[in-house]
Amino acid sequence: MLLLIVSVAGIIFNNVLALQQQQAGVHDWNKRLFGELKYIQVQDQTIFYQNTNNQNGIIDKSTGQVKSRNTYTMCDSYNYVTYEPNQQIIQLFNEGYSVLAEQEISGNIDHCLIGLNGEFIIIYGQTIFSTFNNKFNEKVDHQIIHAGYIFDVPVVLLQKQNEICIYQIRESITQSYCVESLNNGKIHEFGNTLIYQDAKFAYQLKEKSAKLLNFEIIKKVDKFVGFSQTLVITEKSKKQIVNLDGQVEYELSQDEFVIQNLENQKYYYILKQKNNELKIVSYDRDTKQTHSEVIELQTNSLILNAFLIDQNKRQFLIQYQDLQTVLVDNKGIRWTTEQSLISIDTVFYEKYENQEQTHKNSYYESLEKHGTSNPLYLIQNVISRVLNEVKDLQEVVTHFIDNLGKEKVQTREMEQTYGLKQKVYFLTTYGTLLCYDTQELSLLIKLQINNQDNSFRLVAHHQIDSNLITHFDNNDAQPTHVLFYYSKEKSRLNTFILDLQHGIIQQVASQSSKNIVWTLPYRVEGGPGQHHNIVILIDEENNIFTYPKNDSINTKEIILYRNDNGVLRGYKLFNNELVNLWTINMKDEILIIRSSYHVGEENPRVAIWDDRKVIYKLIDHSNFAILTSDGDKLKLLIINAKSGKIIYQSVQSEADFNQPINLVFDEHQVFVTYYNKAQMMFEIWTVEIYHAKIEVSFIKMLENYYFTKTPIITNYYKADFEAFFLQQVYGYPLGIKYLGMSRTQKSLTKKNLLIITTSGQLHSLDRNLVSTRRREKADQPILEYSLQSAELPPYQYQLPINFLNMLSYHQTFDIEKFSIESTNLESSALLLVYGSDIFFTRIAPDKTYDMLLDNFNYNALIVTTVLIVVATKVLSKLVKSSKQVKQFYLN
Amino acid sequence: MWEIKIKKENSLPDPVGYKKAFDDCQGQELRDDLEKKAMGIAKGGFGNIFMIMFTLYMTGNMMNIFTIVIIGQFLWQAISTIAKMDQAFSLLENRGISLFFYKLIYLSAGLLQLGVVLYKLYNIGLLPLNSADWIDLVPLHHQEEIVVPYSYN
Repeated sequence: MLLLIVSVAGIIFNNVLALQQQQAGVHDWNKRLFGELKYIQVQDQTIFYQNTNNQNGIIDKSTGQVKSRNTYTMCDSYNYVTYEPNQQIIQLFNEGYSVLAEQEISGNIDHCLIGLNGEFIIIYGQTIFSTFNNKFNEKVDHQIIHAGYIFDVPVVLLQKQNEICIYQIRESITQSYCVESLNNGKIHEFGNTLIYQDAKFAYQLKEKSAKLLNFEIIKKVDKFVGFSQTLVITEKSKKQIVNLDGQVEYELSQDEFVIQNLENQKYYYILKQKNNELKIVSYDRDTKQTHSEVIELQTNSLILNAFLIDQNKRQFLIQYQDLQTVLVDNKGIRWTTEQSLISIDTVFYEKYENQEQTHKNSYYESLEKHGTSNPLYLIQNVISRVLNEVKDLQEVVTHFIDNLGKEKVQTREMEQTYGLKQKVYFLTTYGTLLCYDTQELSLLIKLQINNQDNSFRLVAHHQIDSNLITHFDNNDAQPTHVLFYYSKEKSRLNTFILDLQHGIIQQVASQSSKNIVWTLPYRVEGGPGQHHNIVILIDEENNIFTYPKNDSINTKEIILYRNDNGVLRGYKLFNNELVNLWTINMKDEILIIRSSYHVGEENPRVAIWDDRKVIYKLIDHSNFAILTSDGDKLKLLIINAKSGKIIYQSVQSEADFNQPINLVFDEHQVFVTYYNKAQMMFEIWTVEIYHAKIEVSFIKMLENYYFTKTPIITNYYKADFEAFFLQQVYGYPLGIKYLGMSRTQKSLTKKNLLIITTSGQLHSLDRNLVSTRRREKADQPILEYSLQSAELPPYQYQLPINFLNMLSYHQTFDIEKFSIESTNLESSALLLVYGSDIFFTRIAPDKTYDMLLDNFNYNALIVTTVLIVVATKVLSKLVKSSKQVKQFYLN
Repeated sequence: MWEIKIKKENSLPDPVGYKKAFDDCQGQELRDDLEKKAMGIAKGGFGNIFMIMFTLYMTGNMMNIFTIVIIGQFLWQAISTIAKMDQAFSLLENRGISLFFYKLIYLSAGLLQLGVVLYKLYNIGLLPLNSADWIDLVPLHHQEEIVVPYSYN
C-alpha cells in the first residue's frame, strides 16, 4: 500500500515537473531592427525614430532594442498621426498615445504639422491638405513638396511648372511668394528658415522673400547645420564648416562628422573614428577652443550619421557605414547593435564541426552505399548497427561521467551533432557579413566587403572547391563561398572569395562585363570518382565565362530561359555557345516566373500512395510557371523549357493586383495566392500535375520495378507522356503577404505551406488541405482509377485556420521573406524569417518523429523504472513469505 | 506314435509379443473406432474457427498492443496446428487405416484458420498485398539536364 502511494506520488510529481518544463518556442529568438536612422527625437528613456525606409518606432535608450514599430507620421517631437487606409480615418495622438482628434479623409498621409497654438493640424498628401477643425479642407492643383515652418509660421510649398510657391497658413491660406525653380528640388530645414535646392537653383526661403544662395557652395554641401546657420561642405579631400556666404569657420578632415548643439549655438561636436578609437571633439565657436576625449571602439568603418542624445552626459548615438549603431557617453559604450541586418542579400548556414559525430558510423555509411532496403546487406547492417550502438553507449556513458553537472554543455553538443544548432550567415546590402549562432543570438563573426561602392549588387552566391582558386592561400578541399557583385553603372563584375575558416573576404577578380543574366553552379567530371565545382556566368549578350576558368562544360545538357522584356526565350548551352531553342511573345504583362527546380534540393519521390493505390507525381524540372495579368484576370501558364510548349494554362478573374501575389512551383504542385475582389478574401489556387498511370496491383508493381532492370517510370516522361492537370481554389481567411514551402534534408517529410500573413504572423498550413485531390462530397464514391482521395477531407472552399499552427505564436513581426535550412534529423528544419524584424524558430512539419521532445522527462523515466524494479522485488519477497503460499506448497 | 491335433479355437493365451490378426467382425469394429477418432482429430481445427473469427472481429481494425497479441497468438496457433499434423495423428499411424483423407481435412482446417488470421492481417494493413506496399521500389526522380531560370535580375 505504501509502495502504491509512493508510486502515485512520484508519477504526479513528475507530471507536474514535465508541465513546468514544457515551453512553447523555447528555441525561438527575434530581433527587431531600426535600420538606417534619418531623424530621432529623445524623451527620457525612449528614442522616437524615423528611418530611411520611412518607418517610425521607439527605441529603448538603455538597451538599444526596438520597443515598438508603428505607422505613425511624426508631426513634431510629441505629436503623431496615423492613417487607416481601409476606413480612411486619420487620428492624432500625443506622446501618451491618447487620441486628440480624428477625421475622415481620403488619400495617404505624407506629413503633418501642428500649428502654433496647437489648434490646427495640417495634413497633406500629394495634392491635398486639411485641418482637424475643418478650417481648411482643400485640394490643390499642384504637388505639395513640403509642409513646415518659417519663423514659426506654418507654410506649405507647392511645386508649380517652373516655380515653387510658398503659402502661409494663418486665418486663411495665402500665397506669400513664388521663385523660379526646376522640378524635383529638395527642402532642408535650416534654423527658422528653409533651404530649397535643385540642380540649378538654391534659395534660403524666408517669411516674405527668398534669398538666392551661392549655388557653387550649396552643391558641395554635405550637411546643413541649421541651428548655427552653417554648412558643412566637402571639397576635394577636405571638409569645412562655412556660413552661407562661404566664410570658413572650421577645417575638418574627410572622416570627421559634425553634430550641432541643440541648446545653444556656441558649440559644435566633431566625431572621428580612427584606429579603433572614437574621438569626440567639442569646438567652442567663440573662443575657438577645442576639447577632445577618446573612447576605445573597435570598428574599421566610417561614421555615417550621429545624433546628440544628451547634452549633459555627452551622450551620442552613432551609426557607422556598416550600420553598426553605438550609444556612447562619458562613461564609455552603453550598447552596440548591428542594424545592417535590416537589408539582407542572402542567408546561408554552416554546421558546427564536432569531433564525435555519433550518427556517422559504418552502419549509416553502409546504408548510404548499399541502400536502405537491400536484403543482401541486412545481416551485415544489423551486426554493424548493434556494434555501433554498443560503442555509442560506451561513449555516452564515458561522456556522461566526464561531464557530470555540465548538462547544458552536453545538450549543446548533441544539438550541434544533429544540426539543430548551426551558424547562420547574413550577407547584407551594406557589405557586411554577420554570423550568428542559430540558438543563442550571439554574434560570432563580422566581416566587411571593401573595395567597391554602393552601385555594386550581389548577383550570385555559390560554393566551389577552394583548391581550384588561384591566388588564394587555402589548399584544403573544403568548399569555399564565391560572391559575384555587379555594377550596372560601371559595367563591372567583382568576384570575392569568402574563407569562413580564417574569417577572410578576399577580392580575387574584377572584370568588365555586361549585365549578368544567368549564373549556375556546375560540376565538371574529371574521370572516375573525380569532379570539381565551378560557376558558369552568362551575360545579356550571351557571353559565357566560368569561375575558375574552365573550358569543358559540355558534359551535361544545360537549358536556360529568361524574360527579355515580355519575350520569353529558351536556350541550350552547347559547345560554349548559347543556341536559341524557342521564343514566346507574351501578350500580357508578366508578373512572376517560378521554376520547379530549386538549387540544393534532393531528388524527390515520384510515387505517392493513397488508399492502397500508387499514383505518380509528374515532376519535370524543365517546367516553369508564369503568372501574367490581363485586366483583372490572373493567368497561369506552365511551360516546358526544353520544348517551349505551353503545357497548361488557366485563368482566375477578379484578382486585385494592388494586393500581394505569390507563385510557388514545387515538384508537381503550383500554388498561386491573390486577393479575390468578389469573394473579398485571399485565395490559394493549386494546380497539380499527375501522370495518367495509377497502379492498383502489387503484382504489377513487382513486375515493373523488381523483375525489370529498366523501371517503367523512366518512360513516363518520354515516350508515354500523358499528364493530368488538376486545379482547385481555396479561400484563406487571413491575408497572404508571402508564400513558401517547408523543406527537410531528404524531402521525405511532408512539406507544408509557410505563409507570412499581411498582419505579420507566420502560419504553417497543412499541404493536404490545399490539395486538388479532395473530393467534392464526403459520400462521393471513389473510383479505383481516380486521382481523388478517400483519405483527404472533402472539399470546403474556406480553409480552416488552426491558430496552434502559428509559428510566431501571438507575436507579429515586420517580415518579408524566409530561409529554411535542413538539419541532420529528417523531421526538423531551421526557419529564419526576415525583413525589418528577424525571427528564428525550429519547425517540424510532420511532428518530431525522430527525436525526443525537449521537455522529455528523463527523471520521470528513471524514477518510474526504479519504482517498478523495487516494487517487483519487494512484492515477490512478500509473496514468497506469505502463509497461504507456504501452505499451498506443503499441500 | 504322436498325434498332433490343431484346435481351431484358441484356448491358450497368445505368447508375449504375438498379436492376433483381426478377424473380420472385430476388425471392422475397431476400424470404425479408429476412423471416428481420426475424423475427430481432423475436424478439431474447424471448431476453433468461429471462435477465432469472433475474437478477431471484436478486436477491431485498430493497431494496438491487444490486437497484436491476439493476432499473434492465433497466427502461431494456426501455424503450429499445421506443423503438428503428424504429431496429432501419431497414435493412429500403422493401425491399418489410411490417414491421408483425415490429414487432408485436418490440413484444410489449419489452412482455414491461417486464412482467417491472414485476412485479418490484410485488413489492418500488415500484409503487403497492395501496390502501395511496394512503393519504395519506384526510383526517385532524377533529372538528366540542368535547367536554369534567370533569377538574379
